[in-house]
Amino acid sequence: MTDALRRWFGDLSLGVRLAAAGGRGSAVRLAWITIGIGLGVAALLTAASAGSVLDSHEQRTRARIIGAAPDADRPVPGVSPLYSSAVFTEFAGRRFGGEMLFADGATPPKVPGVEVLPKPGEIVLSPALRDLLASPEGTLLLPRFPQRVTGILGDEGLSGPWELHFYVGVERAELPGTSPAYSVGVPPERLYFDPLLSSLVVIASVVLLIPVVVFVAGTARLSASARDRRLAALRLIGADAGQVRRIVAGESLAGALVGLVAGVVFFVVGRDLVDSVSLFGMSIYGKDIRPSPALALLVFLVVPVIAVGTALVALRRTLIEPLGVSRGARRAPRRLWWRLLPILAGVALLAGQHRGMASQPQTALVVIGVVLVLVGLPMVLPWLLERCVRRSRGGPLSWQLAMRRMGAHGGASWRIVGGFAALLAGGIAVQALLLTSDSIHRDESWTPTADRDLAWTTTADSESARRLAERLRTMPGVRRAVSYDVVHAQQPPHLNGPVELIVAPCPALRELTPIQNCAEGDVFSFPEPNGEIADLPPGTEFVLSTAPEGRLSWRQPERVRPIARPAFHAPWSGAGLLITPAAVGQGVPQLQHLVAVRLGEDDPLALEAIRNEIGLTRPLSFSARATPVSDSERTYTAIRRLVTVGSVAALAVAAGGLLVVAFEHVRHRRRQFAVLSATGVPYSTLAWSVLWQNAVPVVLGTGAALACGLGLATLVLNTTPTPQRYDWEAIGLTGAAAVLAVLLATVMTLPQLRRAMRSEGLRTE
Amino acid sequence: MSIGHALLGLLENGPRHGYDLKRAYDERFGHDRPLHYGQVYSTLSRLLRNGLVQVDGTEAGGGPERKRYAITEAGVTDIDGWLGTPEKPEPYLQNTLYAKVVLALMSGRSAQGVLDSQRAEHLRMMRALTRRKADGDLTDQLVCDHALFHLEADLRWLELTAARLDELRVVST
Amino acid sequence: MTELLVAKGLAKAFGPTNALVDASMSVRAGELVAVMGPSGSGKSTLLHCLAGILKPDAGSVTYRDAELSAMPDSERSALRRNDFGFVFQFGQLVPELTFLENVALPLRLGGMRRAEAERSAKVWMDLLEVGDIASKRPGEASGGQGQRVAVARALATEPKVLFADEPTGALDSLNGERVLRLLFDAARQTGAAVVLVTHEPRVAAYADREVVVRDGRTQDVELVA
Repeated sequence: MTDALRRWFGDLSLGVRLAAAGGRGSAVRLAWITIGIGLGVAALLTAASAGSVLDSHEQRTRARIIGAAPDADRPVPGVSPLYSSAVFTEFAGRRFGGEMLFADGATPPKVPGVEVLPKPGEIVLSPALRDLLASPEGTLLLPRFPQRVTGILGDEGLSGPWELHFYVGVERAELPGTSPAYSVGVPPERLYFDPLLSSLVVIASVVLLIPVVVFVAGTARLSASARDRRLAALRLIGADAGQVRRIVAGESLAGALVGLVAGVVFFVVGRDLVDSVSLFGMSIYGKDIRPSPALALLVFLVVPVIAVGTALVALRRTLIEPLGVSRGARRAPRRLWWRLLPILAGVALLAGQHRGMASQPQTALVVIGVVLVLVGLPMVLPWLLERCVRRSRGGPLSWQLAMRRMGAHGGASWRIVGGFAALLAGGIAVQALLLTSDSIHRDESWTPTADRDLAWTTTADSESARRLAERLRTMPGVRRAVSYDVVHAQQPPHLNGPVELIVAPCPALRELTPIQNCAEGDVFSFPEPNGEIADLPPGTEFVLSTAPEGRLSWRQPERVRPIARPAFHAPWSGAGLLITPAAVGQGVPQLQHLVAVRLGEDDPLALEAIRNEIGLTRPLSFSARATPVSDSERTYTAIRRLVTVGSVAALAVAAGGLLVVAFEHVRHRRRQFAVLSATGVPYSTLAWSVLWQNAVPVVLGTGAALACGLGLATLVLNTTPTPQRYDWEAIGLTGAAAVLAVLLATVMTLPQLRRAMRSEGLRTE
Repeated sequence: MSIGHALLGLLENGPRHGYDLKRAYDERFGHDRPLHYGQVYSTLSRLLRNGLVQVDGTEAGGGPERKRYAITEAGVTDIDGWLGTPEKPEPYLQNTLYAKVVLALMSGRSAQGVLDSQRAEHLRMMRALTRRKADGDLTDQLVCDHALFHLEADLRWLELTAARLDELRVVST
Repeated sequence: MTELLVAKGLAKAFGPTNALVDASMSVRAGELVAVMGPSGSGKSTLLHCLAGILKPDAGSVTYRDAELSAMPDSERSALRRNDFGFVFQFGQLVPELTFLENVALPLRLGGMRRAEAERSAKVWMDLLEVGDIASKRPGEASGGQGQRVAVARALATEPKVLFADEPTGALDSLNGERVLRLLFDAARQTGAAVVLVTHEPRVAAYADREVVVRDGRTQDVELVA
């Protein structure tokens, strides 16, 4: 038994030796395999790290949340309380935030990444924010940060190296209604994975495996004739069929193993690069990209298995005999029906999961469906190509030459094109999936109807609100600005919609809505957007405070005059009362001091100036405008872009495979080209024939891939209740990349063609 | 082959006794037919008469076999001329083998039989020569190669003839 | 002497071409047999059938009383590995491997350890006077040297029968003679029988006897003489 095992090992190691053994051909081949499998492995390891990246992101943001832990407000001995309030601001379409802090004592809880907490008038910035403020683009933002910079945030306090984040020190008075915190950070929770996202990761991994298969298949083709001779020689001296298969397995195993090592190197180098270069605005720490050990192990197992399996399948049709290699006699024309089976099965599975038909889409079935369609595409493509080649009659000589050559020996390059197409289709499907699952775009899909130019902010007191409104009125880009107070009150129980209590002196109320007679002590009532007047009988009680020191309430007076709904009001808010301060009386504990702004023309510069005027600690909110992407959400967009880049890169690798085949083709047919050239066929005709031969399968494959990818995306998205979107830009990009790949492959083989056409092509070996 | 030129060629390496000359000749050229002493001496006296060799000295005891012969200037010139003249290619038309095959064909006998038995005989000879070549020195190898190539030529001709006869048979039937 | 390899009434066709029609011959242990005939006469096909590389359409080949065509592929492979050796005109050495590795190859295929196989291979290379180019690769040495390496490889497993198909076909006369001498000397030393296919009578003359193939038929010349 051990002897048999040793012989097995001996055969495999002989294969490894043959793969590594000399000759330029085998060196080139090994290099291709290494790069191809290496890139595939690196991509797979990255995909295997998706969990750790999202998890780390989550951990990092949870670790800095102040006072949100269940027992955060319980005093801890030796720790002085910390008051805080989250704050967000926007700049150049980018939303970022920080915390306003007030440390009440010398020993506040530790905030991650902050060495010394900022005192009032001081600020701690993230490195990226510091750089932004120091850069020319940041000059417009600079007025919003008048505070003294006392520190720079450390890595542990940031979600990523490019995050804009800050901690600004404020006075206690600027943090009304906040409770003291004695601890920072929220205990970690298991990350919730969006089912769409998790199926996406699986599909992406499958798609990423395709280039590995394409590559191994392509490189198996490289110097195939030399390999055939070699294997025949081995058969002659007594290697049996099993031994030859083991030797071939050893050969491809060598490539796979070297590729694995290269993949790990690519991965580690790329990971270090993430820290120093911001790729597509992605903000991820390299150290957070950790492949899950189980998945990494799976990659290390699956890649060699696929490499060996592909090589053995490629060998299936060739019968290696001691006297040489015979490829099965003239093969029957390809049949369609069994080739269609995987696609049909996949489509049926996906259609079965269509929302409405299945109560709950099952991720596993969706993934299987997608994989079936992707696997089926390269199976149908050769049939399609064969049809096209056979149908082709006539045309110029170059076309004829290309068609006949393809008819005679299509197989290998079609396999590559098939993989190429599957890759493209998978890329398009993943694109569409990513785009749809992107929460930001989901928000955007809710289109605001009106009042896009209405914004408001809050201030500490009504006096500063009034002054801010006055200042804003004079600024360019502001049509109107008013200040008023909102009373927070418990709603009377009999009302079905909320009623807003707005407190402002008569001049301010007139700014809100036309009022003819207004005197202190007056109360006005405005209806809901549909004109309904709230059922508010005189004497309705609004409870203002239920604090232990005493219940405080306000009763609606007898006389309430109806007025028109204020133009400032967002369509979604309900009915309300406008109250003059005298009508409220003294002792209203909590008033929100608002400044409402109606903006003029869409002017980004003016908008930034307005934000600067309002200041850092007071955000400008819009009633009906999509919130710009925050930094953590940008990461999601970045991942999507990365997938685009990844699929283009994978296409490039597949195009490399195509190039390998094109090279091999010209090399193999050197003599024929030389003879044709000697008989007077011009160079251009031969060059065109090479172009046709490369282009026709790729163009057909790309077309099929586009159809298949879009169809796949439609089917998969039908399984989730989200509207469908396609990233046409990315789809166009990938399509263009495919065409470019063909042109490049052809152009790069032309010097070789020219050399073959010169006399040396006629020489025998 | 001219025995006179052969002896002159042998003498070019240095003077020799008549007996030595015969031995040297036999070794190199006379495998099947060794020279008679008489033949050596009559040739030598003809060369002497023509001034191509001269007597270099006589050892005690007298008799023709004790004389030492040396080549003269004229002799060297003569052998130069002989070596420089191309040999007329032998058409081998007087070859018995050829005659047999032609006669067999003309008389309607099976030429194939003649060919097959002849090939066996040729190969037997070639095997012997090959064996001798393996054990022999350079001279042996040269001689055997010479013979082997000629025998091979015979056999090739036989093969070709056989092929032609086959073709003829196909045409006539 | 015992009959090692016996072929009876072999016929083999490739498509419409009849390569062998009725061929019979036998090889005794330690005997050197030349298979002669014009090109296209079927002599290579006869050799391939004798060695179990090709399955004849009709007739039988028995090696030590075992019918070759009845064996499964694995058994015939093992036979080629252990009992037969091959020297062809060209294309038999693996260009990626060094000469030494090439000679050691059949030993390693037979399960011998690498170091042991290469030590044994070196002995054979020395015997065939190519020990000094052991670390070179095919293509880095002359054709004659390559053929001698091929002979060393064929003999490394100490086969019972050595099949040689025009082993000197691509060599000039002098190099060819050298390869043949070494081949036959080595074969005689190891007691291997040699089946030598050639169209050159001079090459055939190295053998003990010859079998002539014409139009796919064998003619046992011994019987005529």
